[in-house]
Amino acid sequence: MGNTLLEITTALQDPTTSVYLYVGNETDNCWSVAKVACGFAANAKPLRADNFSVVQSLLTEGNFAAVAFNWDGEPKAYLDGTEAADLNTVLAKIAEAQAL
Amino acid sequence: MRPVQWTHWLLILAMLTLLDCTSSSEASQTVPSIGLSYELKEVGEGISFTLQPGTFNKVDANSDLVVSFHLLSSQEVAAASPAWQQVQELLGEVDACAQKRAELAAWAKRVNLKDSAELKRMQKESAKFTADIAVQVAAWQATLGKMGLTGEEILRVFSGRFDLRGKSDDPYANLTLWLRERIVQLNRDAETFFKSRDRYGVTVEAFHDPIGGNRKALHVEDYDRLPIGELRPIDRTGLKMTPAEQQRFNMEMQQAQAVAAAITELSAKGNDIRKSTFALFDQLRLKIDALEKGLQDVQDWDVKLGNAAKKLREFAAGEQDAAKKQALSDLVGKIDAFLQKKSFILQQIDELNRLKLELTSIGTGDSITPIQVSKLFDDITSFLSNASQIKMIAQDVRSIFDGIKNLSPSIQQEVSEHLTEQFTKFSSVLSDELPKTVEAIGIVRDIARKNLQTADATDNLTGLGTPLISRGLDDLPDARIELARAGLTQGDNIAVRIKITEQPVAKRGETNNSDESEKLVQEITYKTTAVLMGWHRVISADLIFARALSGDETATKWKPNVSASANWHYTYREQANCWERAVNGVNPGLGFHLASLNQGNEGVEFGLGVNLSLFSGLLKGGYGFNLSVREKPYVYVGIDLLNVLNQARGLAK
Repeated sequence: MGNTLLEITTALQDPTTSVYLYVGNETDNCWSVAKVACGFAANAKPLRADNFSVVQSLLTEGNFAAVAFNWDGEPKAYLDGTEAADLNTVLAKIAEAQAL
Repeated sequence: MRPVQWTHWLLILAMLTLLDCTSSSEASQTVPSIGLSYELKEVGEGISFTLQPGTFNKVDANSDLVVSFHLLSSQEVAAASPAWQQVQELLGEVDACAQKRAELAAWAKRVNLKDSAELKRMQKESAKFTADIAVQVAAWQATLGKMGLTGEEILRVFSGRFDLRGKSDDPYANLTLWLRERIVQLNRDAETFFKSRDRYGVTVEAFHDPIGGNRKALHVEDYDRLPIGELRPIDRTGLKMTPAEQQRFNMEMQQAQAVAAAITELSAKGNDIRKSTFALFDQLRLKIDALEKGLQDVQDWDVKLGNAAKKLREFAAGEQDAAKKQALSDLVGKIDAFLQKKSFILQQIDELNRLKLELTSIGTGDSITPIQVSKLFDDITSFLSNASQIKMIAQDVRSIFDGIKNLSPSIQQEVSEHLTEQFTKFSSVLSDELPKTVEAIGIVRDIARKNLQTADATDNLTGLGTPLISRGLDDLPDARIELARAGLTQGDNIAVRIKITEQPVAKRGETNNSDESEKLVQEITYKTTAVLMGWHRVISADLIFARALSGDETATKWKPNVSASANWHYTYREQANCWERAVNGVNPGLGFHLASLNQGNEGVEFGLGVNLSLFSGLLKGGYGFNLSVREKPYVYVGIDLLNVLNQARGLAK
């Protein structure tokens, strides 16, 4: 079971963490990559929505599998399925979103 | 012109000697694959110096050379491996990053949200850390890839899915756990290796290369069964000589006397010697000339021999008796085979012609140049290399000759029409004259070569049949070579060879010199030169050129003589600075001498005086008084011949 909209909204409002949101199943390799990348990064929180409908009030639907938010909860980088499966790309996108 | 040349030589000599200093780099040799380290030390009273392989180490002639072994523990072996070091390094990096990340997480928890400046600082620090860790993680992935992990396996390690135990979401903790398990595995591998390392054997050999003598094996305590030798340390400052020094002194004296006599002889009879050398070459040239002419005859009668073969073939065809028919056919076969070798004989004639021309050209010159001699030797050697083939041809000719003699008289008569007496003459040249000439050429070549070559037996004696003891790694006492028992003199070389082999366990402790089943793991030879350190004396016999400072022309002329001298020097063992290096390089010494002189009409003349020695006795100068001729003063310059030859040989190597 993925995170709820409330959990996601609450996390996005916390200025001490940056959020990396993955939209997909818990067994997906991209979700493992997301958790590892956030585990390496500083103060980055991995969240997962089971499908796009959970977050449609926050994001406009597009061709992406994951989104890296900045400290203010604004989406800064969008990743497609291939990018979200690559640890180095995910880490780079989180770093890019965190940069002030 | 002459003084300038001398100055140049002195400068070159000084530079070469200054370069020859003890260097120090890594202390011990390690064989990581078998967990063994060792070092060779010069050990004396209260001193111990580690020696380096691959360079000439100067050691005190009264000290001991000791090879010490250190067997690494399984953990030390593991720790020495690059894989182990790589894992440790990675662990350190992961730990440092994990700590930094935890600090940033703690800061995020306690930060005052109302303090926007602090919040920004925390965010900025975190962003910087994330950007840095992105680069660092890529580097870790590369390292893990080198350890043999695939990209998928690396992700499993980071996410804690590499075995059933790691389930944390913390990639730092997961990676740390995996690296620690890797270290455990490396230690286990090292222990497994340790249990099997008794298959390795170690031998230590020592050799003494005396100046002007042949290599001999020295006793190494616990590593061979050679005689221990008598303890005879060199008297450091006194004049008492050991038997080895006495022998060396006698040799130097004989050599100096011989050279002095030779110089006198050469200056008096140089022309005669040159003439007799040319006469020797001239005789050889005449012999070669005769042989060449004899061989040239082959050109005249080979057609006739061919006709004889044709005639014999006809006889064979008409012969009814099977045995006689076979004999005729065999003879025809031999003649045909011989005629095919005609080109080879013509080639040898060319070779002889060339030799003859070279000898003629040498004979017309005033002197023989090294290039001429070298070319002559090459050509002679080339000709002699065909000697066995020439001998076989000579046998063939003899066999044909005998075959013809065994034919029935009627056939002999028929064939003889085609074979003139030239064949008999050629047969005689080939089977009698040619071997004698070949032998003569070889003798002349060997005589000349022996005179020109410096016999260097040491290199040929490296494989002496020393009764070695091969020791296992678990039983390696210190290997001690007591130089005071080796019969050394100053300037002698000592080589210590350490050999590690992989061999059958049964071979350990047995006398073992050459076993083909052994596999060489490492072989290192340390080279040392025996000298005396600190204050010490050097006693030597020298070739000197002396002249009286006053008197008639005969007395004031430089003449070769011999002297016995004792000089006192100081040598720094450690050469800590330029001054000490310079002193060791120039190595000045002061002392006195007793010289035989030839400055008056007395049959036996002796001189006594003081002298200065430079460059470890290579060059000497002296001032003294002729005791036999009214104490007339004289000066001399001298060289230590054996030392010079030894140094020249060292430079050539």
